[in-house]
Amino acid sequence: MRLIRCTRGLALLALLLFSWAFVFDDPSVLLVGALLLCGLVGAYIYFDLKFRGVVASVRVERSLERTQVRKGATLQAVTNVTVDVPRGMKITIRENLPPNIAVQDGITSFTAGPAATPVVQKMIYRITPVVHGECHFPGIILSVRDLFFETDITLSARQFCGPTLIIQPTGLFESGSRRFVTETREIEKMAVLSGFGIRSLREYYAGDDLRKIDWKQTAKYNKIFVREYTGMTYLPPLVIIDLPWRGDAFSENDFNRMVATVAGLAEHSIKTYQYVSVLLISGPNIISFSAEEKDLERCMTLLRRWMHPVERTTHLYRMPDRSDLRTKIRVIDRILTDDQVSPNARFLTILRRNYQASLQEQQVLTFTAQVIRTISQITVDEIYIFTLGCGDTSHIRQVVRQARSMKIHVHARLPNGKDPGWWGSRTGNLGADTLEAFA
Amino acid sequence: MSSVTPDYMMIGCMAAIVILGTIIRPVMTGYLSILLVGVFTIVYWRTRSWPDRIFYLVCSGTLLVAVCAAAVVWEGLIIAWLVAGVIATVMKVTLTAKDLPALLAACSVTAIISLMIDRANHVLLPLAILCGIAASVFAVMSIRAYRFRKQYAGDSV
Repeated sequence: MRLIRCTRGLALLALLLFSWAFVFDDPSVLLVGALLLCGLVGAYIYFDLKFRGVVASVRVERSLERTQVRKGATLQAVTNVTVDVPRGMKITIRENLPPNIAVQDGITSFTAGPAATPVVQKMIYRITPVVHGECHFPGIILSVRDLFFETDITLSARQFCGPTLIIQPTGLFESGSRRFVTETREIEKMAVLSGFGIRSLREYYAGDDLRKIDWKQTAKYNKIFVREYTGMTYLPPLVIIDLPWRGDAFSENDFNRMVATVAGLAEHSIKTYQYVSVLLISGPNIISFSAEEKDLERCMTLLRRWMHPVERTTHLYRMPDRSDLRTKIRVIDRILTDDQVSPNARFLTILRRNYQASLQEQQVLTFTAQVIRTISQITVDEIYIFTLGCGDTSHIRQVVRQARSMKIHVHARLPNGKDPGWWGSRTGNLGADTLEAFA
Repeated sequence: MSSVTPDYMMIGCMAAIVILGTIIRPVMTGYLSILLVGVFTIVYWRTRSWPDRIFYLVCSGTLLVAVCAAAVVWEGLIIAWLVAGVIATVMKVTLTAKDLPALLAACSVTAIISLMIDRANHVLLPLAILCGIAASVFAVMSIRAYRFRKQYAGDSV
């Protein structure tokens, strides 16, 4: 229990009065001090009784979207709290969240004043587990305050805690050295682009192209049938949004502009191509993927829900790819060939050996594999990557490289005025086909 | 439309008691009491929008009660009750039938304390008794609070 500032002053006044009475043997001052002390004790007893009533009235119901997730996945939690708030008191209830999860957004606390009927409040928030294992929700923290006192209590009895969330671990690297290449996507793409797909069959009308006659069906039904081929259509782009980490220093204006640009592109894509695919990442973490979304409202809901800085479970820092390492080795080889007697030759030899060792041990990142699997699900021939360019960009390089290997055009979009040098690549635009500002 | 609210009614009672006491016992402290009722009223009126208003009211009330109790302890007690009533009005405390036992208990306790101080020749003994009782109350409350928290908070106490 803590004393409010006013109560601290009163307690000090009572102490001064007692001291005065003791030193000067003054019963009138003693009476004042005693009455003040009585008042404070009475207020404390009154507060304690009310506090017990508040605690006894608390009811908590917590539910999770799922009870078993992989580390880094985001899920929604809903907590319904019912509490009686007596006259003259103010309460604050906070979720006492376990340390191994990060709150992405939503409401995790509320304050309520006195009310005649029990206060019912729903707290909806999204969490991301950052450490694997079992995660038990330990209850809530209740703060009660009146004019004289305030106190906190962690309500962790059985009726306030739970459920338990099981968090499965995820690896940073994929097992084995298998390279992820898919060909089915190419075949499907060729079929669509060449217009070989048959939409329907119908009877022949005079003037129809004779080359379209389906002779097999004609022979079967003894009527002339012609094929109606699917039309040629452009493919909508895949929109990849690299959400900033919460710890990144980024411009709020840039972020808002990025949101607006992404929303505009998604709307344009749905209106023009009937659907859009959106992949949200944050560093080397896949946040959400919406494949071939046809409903504009649902697409906007998705963007509204996810487009904000997020907590990252995995970070990369200057993560080289196999081709990066090979390039570095080639450069060292060229230098060593040109100048064998250089004083730096020994250093470069050691460096080359280290690169060679790294190359042999290099494994495919889980993130890379996830990106390949995600892109392979859809038919796409161009990708727009939106990023604020905060912090390390190894993950962007991974995405661009894999997309290029699938012969998909990549267009990078970054804030206006951003120095392209931040890419950390000699090519300036990280190998993307185009690099433009989204402002 | 003007109406006499309970707070002004109690301040009026306070002034009446102080004036009556001064008439019955014409001593210099009587005039000081009247002056301090004025001070209390001014504080009450001026601090309406101030934070921690109760603290200022208690401070001004303390002086008034001390001066009144210097003449007669019981007069000081009645003034203290009235000051407490004014503060309760400020806190928007409304009494109901359920609060009556608590009110009676508070009045009884304060009356017993006044009686004890009135009867004692020196301050030391009542002061020691008061401090002992207060310490006991806090000790009991602490144990109760611990047990209560243990019930609801489990091992996190």
